[in-house]
Amino acid sequence: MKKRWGSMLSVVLVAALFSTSGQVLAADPVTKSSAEELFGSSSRDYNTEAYGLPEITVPEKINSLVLSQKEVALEHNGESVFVDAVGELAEGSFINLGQKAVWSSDNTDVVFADAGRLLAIGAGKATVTVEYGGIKEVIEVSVAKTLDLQKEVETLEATKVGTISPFGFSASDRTTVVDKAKGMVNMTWTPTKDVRGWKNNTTFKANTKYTGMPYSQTENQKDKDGFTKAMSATDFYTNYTRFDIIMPRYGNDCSGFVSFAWGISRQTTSGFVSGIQDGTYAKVGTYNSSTPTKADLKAAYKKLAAGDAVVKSGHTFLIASNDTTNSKVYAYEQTPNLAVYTTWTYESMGSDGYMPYTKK
Amino acid sequence: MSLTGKRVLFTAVAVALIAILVVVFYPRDKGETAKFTTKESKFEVNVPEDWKAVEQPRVAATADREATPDEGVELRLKGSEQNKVYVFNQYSTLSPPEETLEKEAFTTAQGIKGTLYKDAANHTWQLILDQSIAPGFYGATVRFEDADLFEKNQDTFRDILKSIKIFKP
Repeated sequence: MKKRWGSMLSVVLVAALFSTSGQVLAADPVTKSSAEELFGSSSRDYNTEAYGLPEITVPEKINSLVLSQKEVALEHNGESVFVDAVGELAEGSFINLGQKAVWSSDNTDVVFADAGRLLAIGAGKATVTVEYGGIKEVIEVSVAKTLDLQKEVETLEATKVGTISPFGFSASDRTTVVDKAKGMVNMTWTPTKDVRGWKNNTTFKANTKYTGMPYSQTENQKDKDGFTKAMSATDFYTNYTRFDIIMPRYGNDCSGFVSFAWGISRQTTSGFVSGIQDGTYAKVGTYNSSTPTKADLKAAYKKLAAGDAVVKSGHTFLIASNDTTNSKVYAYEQTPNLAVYTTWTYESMGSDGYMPYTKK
Repeated sequence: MSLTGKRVLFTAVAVALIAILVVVFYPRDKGETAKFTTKESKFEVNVPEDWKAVEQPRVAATADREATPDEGVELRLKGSEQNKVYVFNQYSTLSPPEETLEKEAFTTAQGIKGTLYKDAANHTWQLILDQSIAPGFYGATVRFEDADLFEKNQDTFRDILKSIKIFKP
């Protein structure tokens, strides 16, 4: 009996050692950045053989499964907490099974659970089950309230009123730009007939409400008002093919989206990149626009403000707000199938070589 | 029957059994692997028999035309090639389809998690994989024009999607 209690005490101590409990992340929709936090670094989490790394052997059977928390209270959607699942092996040693255990939530409208991360989705209560080797443990989760994350961004931005960006255009211009972008992301539209999406990968169905500008690369790039008008055009529902690609007849691509938000003539990412290099657009921060280093780019991102943008040849998106504390940006992004509100970390933007720039 | 005769009979039966087992269990050609590698994307996907793989490389941005945001491989059903599965890597964030679609948690054989959105009415599936695995965002779309073929091939779709293996380029 003593040995059993000693063993359990050891498990608890190991759980405490592994524990990251109490680590709460900032509000963050499930996008690239949150997925990184959710799953950690890629080489650790997936088939290690595919990345040429040694395989980690995890036993099929464990003696017991101990969770670092059995009850979790989250304030609002977008918050996360990490819970460790520690397995006691047959030989009395321990292993963190957070990535290997099966995590499930009985109410994914309240909390999403995976790989040890519990991500609050909306107000309510849910039970998360963690299972490994036939052993199950549960965590009771409550989420106090559902917040409008976009309003949170606006509040964050309101704290910056009066601060002047040393780059590009004025504060009032920035408000105009952000409102224009927000309009294209938040616009709702309901087709009366089916509309084929980018590359025919999806169908916007008749009498279904959609939020956000559809992605397209036609010559009919539109802002919110233009798109609303185009919905009455006789050819709106006629299938359209350009460059041998099926796409909506009206919509925006990423650079069209930024061009509309900035109120300039239609540009492409190629034009934006060369414009940074020839001085048509202002660099935000300091970097070599021909061969930017990741370190320089990450330092430059700290200078980004609402209304600026980042670009690499092939993609661009507009900054809604810069969370310098957590090294990430909130963004408005025109992407297939619809324009969306996203978040990107400095790390992911730097890895992909996105250059921060702004309108002069 | 003499002892030698029994031995001959036993040997013949054993050889016949082995031959049957070989015929039954010999690994058949279950298709090929399409390997897609560019400067920014690297993945593999199984191409079942009776399907063919067609690469869809990215078109670069120019002064007049925006880059195609995605690149990948289309697997087309031979003989009715408007029915296809497109596995791709995209620059921009993958946006999920409408919430009303049936959703299913999905994990590839490699262990990459994602969400499969099923639109039975339009014979379409969309798979959005974990968005942090490598540069870009990976996903796949099953798009069939033919409803009967869509129904008949669902196991094959699942096998194709399961076989997606992603590498760092």
